[in-house]
Amino acid sequence: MGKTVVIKAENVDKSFKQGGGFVKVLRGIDLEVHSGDYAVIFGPSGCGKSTLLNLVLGIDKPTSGGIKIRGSEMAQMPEDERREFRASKIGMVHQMPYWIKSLDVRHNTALPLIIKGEKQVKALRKADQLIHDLGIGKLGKKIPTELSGGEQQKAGIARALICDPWIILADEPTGNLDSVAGEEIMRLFKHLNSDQGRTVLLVTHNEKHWNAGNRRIEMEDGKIIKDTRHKDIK
Amino acid sequence: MDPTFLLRLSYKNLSKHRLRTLLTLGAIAIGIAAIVFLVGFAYGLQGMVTETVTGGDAFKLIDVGTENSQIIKLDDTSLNQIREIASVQDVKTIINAGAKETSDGHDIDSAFYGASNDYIQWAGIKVRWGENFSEDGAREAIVNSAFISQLSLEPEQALGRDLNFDVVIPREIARDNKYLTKKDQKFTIVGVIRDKNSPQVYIKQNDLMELGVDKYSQAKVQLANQDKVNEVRKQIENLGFKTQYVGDTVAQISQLFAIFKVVLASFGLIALVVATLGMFNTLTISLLERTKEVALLKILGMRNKNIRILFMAESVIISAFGGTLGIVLGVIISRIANAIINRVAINSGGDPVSLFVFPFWFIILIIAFSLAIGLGTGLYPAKRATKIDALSVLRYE
Repeated sequence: MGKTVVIKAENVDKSFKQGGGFVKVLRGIDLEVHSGDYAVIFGPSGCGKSTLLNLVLGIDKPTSGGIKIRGSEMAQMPEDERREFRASKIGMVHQMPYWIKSLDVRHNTALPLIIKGEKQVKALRKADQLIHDLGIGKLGKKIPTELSGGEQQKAGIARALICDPWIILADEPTGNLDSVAGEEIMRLFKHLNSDQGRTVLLVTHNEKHWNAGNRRIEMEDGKIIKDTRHKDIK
Repeated sequence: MDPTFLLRLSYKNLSKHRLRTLLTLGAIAIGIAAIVFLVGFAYGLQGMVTETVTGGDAFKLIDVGTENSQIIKLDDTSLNQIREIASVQDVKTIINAGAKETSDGHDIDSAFYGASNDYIQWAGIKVRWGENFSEDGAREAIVNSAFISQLSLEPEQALGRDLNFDVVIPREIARDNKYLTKKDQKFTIVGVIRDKNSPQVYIKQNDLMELGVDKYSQAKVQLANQDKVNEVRKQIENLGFKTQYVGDTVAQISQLFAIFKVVLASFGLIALVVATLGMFNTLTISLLERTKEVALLKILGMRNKNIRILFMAESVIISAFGGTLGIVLGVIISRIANAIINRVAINSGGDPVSLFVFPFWFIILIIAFSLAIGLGTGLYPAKRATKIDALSVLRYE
């Protein structure tokens, strides 16, 4: 039985205004990500990896073509609806996690669920469980910026998971970490995919992580030039 | 989304920059306190002036006079006509004469009135030292402090003192329509009124009438019902008399004080405008510092409506607390000022006064005004927050 298509990008182009003209960053991207995929996108700087991720996240719109998340095209949704869809269906892990600096780790983690309309008590209970599972349970009452880079990234992953999203997007999640913390975070993504069956789309230019998932997508000059599934795909 | 969480977030953001928040809040409080203090002072002053003018049961009283008419006389016949008007409950009169006090070689000119205790009470005149006229005592006088100061006496010393008057009776009120002077009329001081303007002496009306008076200078007409004032005035004026009503004066006073309040409130408003600009500045800086946070909230799914509420709540929290603190501060400062003024007044022989009055609706208005300032000031930063482009923030990072 075929797996569900979570992300479907069809002939996606993206151009940015620069000076008097336009710079084409993405050119005719076709991509399907299935449930259970752990796809690692890599390529040189400026090849369009992060732009593609922003389009999938729905904070930017393609110049042409379309991206659907389980059949829904976020670019066509009104702004507030798009935000709600994104918050509940996509978990995002940034290179350098953003925080609400006046809230502690558990409130920051629970934030997407509270914004979604969940009762605070329930959301916080779930946040406590998640940060405990990720090994930072004792840090829940700390302000996130007091945490180390690796701990912050774990809290960021907990926040990405709080709404049980269809897919987790990660943009250079180890880019700001030392190698030990970076390895720990990559192990965590592996665990989320192989043990919990979560779909992950991870962007990196760290060569060591190109084979971290079960699929590697190589980009160059705004195009996907190679899309390989590993032999050990489940 | 749970609104209490938005409030909590607003409160947390404010308490993160405690000093900045407190300074902004303090500035609003000072502006509001200035308005409360100044307008409270205007209300207090208006109350004092109105009380001085009205005194007693003044709103049920109509003053009736002849304006020195040679034809219309205020005598017992015309008083009976007035008494017969429906809604008229009672009529009291006063006779205006003149006198010269001549005891111990004095030569004090004074106004000389013949009136009853009721009239004195209706006129809002209060005997501060001694007593009102007794029921059966004869030849009693109530004088004002201006009169006794001419005798170089303290009020307590003046009580019981005998006076000797040459009384001058104008022909308008004299029995024979002839100008009269009655020499060596002896009266005893039984009461003293606090009034330092010009020498005045009140004696019982009968005592003055016995000197050859059979007409009255003025009357006060008491009504059973205040609503009938206009109707009764018309009927009295139809008899040829002139009338005056304290309500007319009070309306003029109110009009004057309305302008006074606006002028004083404008002074306070200047401080409040400066404070509001400070608050606007604080909120705008706070927004600029939190551009990334707003972008994050958008990425995490927060609707524009809730982002707007978040910033408006911060602004309203500052203005609500600032406004409340300002009211408390304004009232406390005015109480202190009032206490100091009263101490000075009492030390110099005056009466304590309520120089500051804060009507309940005025306090409610100030609270509403504070909230309106919060809403108005928060509007722009809140709108600007919803315009933040999450993508630009991420790309810049």
